[in-house]
Amino acid sequence: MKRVTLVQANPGDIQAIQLHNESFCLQPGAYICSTPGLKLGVRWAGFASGIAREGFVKLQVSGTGTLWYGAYGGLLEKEVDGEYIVDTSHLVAYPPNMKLKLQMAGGIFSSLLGGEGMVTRVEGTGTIIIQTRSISGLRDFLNPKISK
Amino acid sequence: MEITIEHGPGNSAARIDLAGGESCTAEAGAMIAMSGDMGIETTTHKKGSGGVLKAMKRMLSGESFFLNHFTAGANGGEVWVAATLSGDMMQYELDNENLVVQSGSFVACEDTVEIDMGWQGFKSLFSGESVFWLHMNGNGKMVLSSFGAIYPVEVDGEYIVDTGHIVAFNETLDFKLSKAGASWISSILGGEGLVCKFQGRGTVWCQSHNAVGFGKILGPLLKPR
Repeated sequence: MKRVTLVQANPGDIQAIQLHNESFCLQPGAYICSTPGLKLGVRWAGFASGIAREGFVKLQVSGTGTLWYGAYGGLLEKEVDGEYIVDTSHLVAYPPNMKLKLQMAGGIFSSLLGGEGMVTRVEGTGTIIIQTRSISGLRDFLNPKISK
Repeated sequence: MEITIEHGPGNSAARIDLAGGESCTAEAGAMIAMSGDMGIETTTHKKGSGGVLKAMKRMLSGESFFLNHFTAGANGGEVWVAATLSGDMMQYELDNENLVVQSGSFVACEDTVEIDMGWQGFKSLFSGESVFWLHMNGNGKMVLSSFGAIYPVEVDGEYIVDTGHIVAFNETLDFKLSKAGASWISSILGGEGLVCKFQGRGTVWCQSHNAVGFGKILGPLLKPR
């Protein structure tokens, strides 16, 4: 038996999910690998998603097999039944039947000044995956420290 | 308000469960997820107190100018909060006492806790390490974060901690900011800029890593765009 080791570039948890003739959506950068029975496809994510720098397309993995995905930080599994709000940079994965709506965190004041920026309103029933750290958070920590 | 810390020590995040109508205050940008009917309000100060002056003091400290207030809907709700860098979290319950918190370590607190900025004098500016602390007082729970691990040190007598490694300490302790070495030049060149000398009885919570130091290593290596 031969072995292959696959990792992600950033420190963080890796998780696997078994898919049985179903689909799962991943945010950009979360995909690591999958068994051959799974097909990777891209779906239009919407203009709002592109403008918020979350990508104009999203990755949808479909079929039967095992999918491995990773995060920056830890992975939280949250069962949603109804509505839930996730900071857009912390959303990792979600089932395709869930509706995503990009919006501002609060009013214009909260969103621009409150540091939360854009959030994603997730609607439906299913388990979504959230990461406890975000690359954009690290960027915002480092940017003011760059020597001019 | 109930606080549950998960994924510690490296990737810690805290879930704050709020009863119907209950509120909590969080550092701007700390929220990672929350219930769909959670109300969010941004102010320059704690609800019903302080004002723009307090907010300006906070901004000087490198903290955000703003604080976010989360209020649960009628059936209660939850807010997940986390820090930016990898590290641990702790919860602390104030019981009519004062706790000094290093500004970067504050994550969230119950809305019964008063938050005020402290000014640690010109020594902190002179040393190039801005030392700004939040003075928390009153009653209520809070969540603090660290860069790396958190460890408590029970002080009885004298104890010295590098200012970049302080998470929080009881205000029962007397403290004095001072240079680490014999002279200012040697302490600045020696890299041990500013230390805090504690005296008395109380607990100091320290963090294993120094976020300011980490920023100083990376900053000169990054290119401005």
